[in-house]
Amino acid sequence: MSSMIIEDHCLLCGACVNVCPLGALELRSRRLMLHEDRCFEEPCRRWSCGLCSMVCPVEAIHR
Amino acid sequence: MYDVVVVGAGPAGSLTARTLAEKGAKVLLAEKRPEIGVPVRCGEATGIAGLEQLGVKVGKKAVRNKTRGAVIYSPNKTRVEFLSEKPIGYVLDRRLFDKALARQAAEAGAEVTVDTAATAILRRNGEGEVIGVEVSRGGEREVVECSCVVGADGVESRVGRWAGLTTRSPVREMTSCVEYEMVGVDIDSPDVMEFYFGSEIAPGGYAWVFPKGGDTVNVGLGVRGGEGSAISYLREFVRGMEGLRKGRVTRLVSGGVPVQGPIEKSVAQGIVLVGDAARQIDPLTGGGLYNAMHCGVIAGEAVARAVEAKDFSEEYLRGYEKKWREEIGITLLKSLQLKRILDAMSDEDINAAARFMGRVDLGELRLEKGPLHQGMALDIVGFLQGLLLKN
Repeated sequence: MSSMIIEDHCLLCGACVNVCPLGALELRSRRLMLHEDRCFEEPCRRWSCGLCSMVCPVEAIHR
Repeated sequence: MYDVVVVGAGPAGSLTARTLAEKGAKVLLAEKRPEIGVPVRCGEATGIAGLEQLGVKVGKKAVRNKTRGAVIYSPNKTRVEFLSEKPIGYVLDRRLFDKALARQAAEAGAEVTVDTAATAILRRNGEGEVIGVEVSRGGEREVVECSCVVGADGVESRVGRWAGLTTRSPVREMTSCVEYEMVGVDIDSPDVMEFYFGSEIAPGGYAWVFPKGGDTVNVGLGVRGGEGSAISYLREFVRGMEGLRKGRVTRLVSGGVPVQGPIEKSVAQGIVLVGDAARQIDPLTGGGLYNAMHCGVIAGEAVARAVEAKDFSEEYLRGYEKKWREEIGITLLKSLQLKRILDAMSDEDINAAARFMGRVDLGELRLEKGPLHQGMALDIVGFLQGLLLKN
């Protein structure tokens, strides 16, 4: 199973947080957090949709 | 050595590959996933007329259900009916549908491979004409020689990014979508699609319920902006629907639909983008299946000419760009304008419009040229807005 990788150069802009269909990303105390249990589609838990990486302005989040 | 490598075996890629192979080109259709058609990222509804127009044969197994139109609910549940006596739409099984399209490409002579991800485009001296694609096939690195690459690799198109053709969508133009397949639900009309509008149901988008036969439905929604995630809106929507509440979720899909209109430029030297990769997505309805297949045929024809002429220059490939804009450009532009109007409408405005419209006989309307030809399911909403404008 793949996971999303969040790079250090994330700007904390929140674009991915707003767009995530599954509410799996959160900005908390100046950090971007991925709730892995919400990401990855049930019931197969195999694929993330990657929408977060599509909207990231600095390519800081990817599979 | 191939003439063309088509990256992505969705409907756009398969139709491109099929058309190319029919015209005698040597084609490789490469899918990065281990199984074509999986995961499904679609409401799975489409219009019969559009498929017939493109000569796409759909096997019985790929059709889960036939529909004879849609009912649209405004925020205060005013009904607008778009119904026909006869079936005009399908709810597909996209896994089987996509496989059938890939099979048709193979039968036409294209080579098909799965578990094969493109990792780079190779050019002569790094910047000249395309000489191949680097792929990872079953985890092994390989170079596939070719003269042209068709990027049919979806909204996240890597081919488009490598060629500098696709840019990131601004968040405000990205509809965030989520859909359940549910079983064990009660359905009022087994052959009618339902659409729900309202800022509390799906801000910036809409919710849909597509009957898949028996007690099974696809229920999903797309949102732009709004207070929470798409799935929080979907949970709320399902809770509020008596027939759905008792159902069980058997599949969850999520994804994004960019709604800012098509990309500025869909060709570069040795590169062609088609389908969602070129954002040939209706900005109003979010529907992309019909356009993807339609433009796949156009791309196949244009690239086949390039193969024959041995000319893969950007200038030559512009024939494709010109043709698809002629065929679907105006509809896309109109939808974009209507989307902007819909964005500016309040719930009360939509209620008033719905009251005004009441009932529309699709038997009459479907003869007209317009969005209804282009994938019944979602474009029906586009037509609703078309009527709103006229009145």
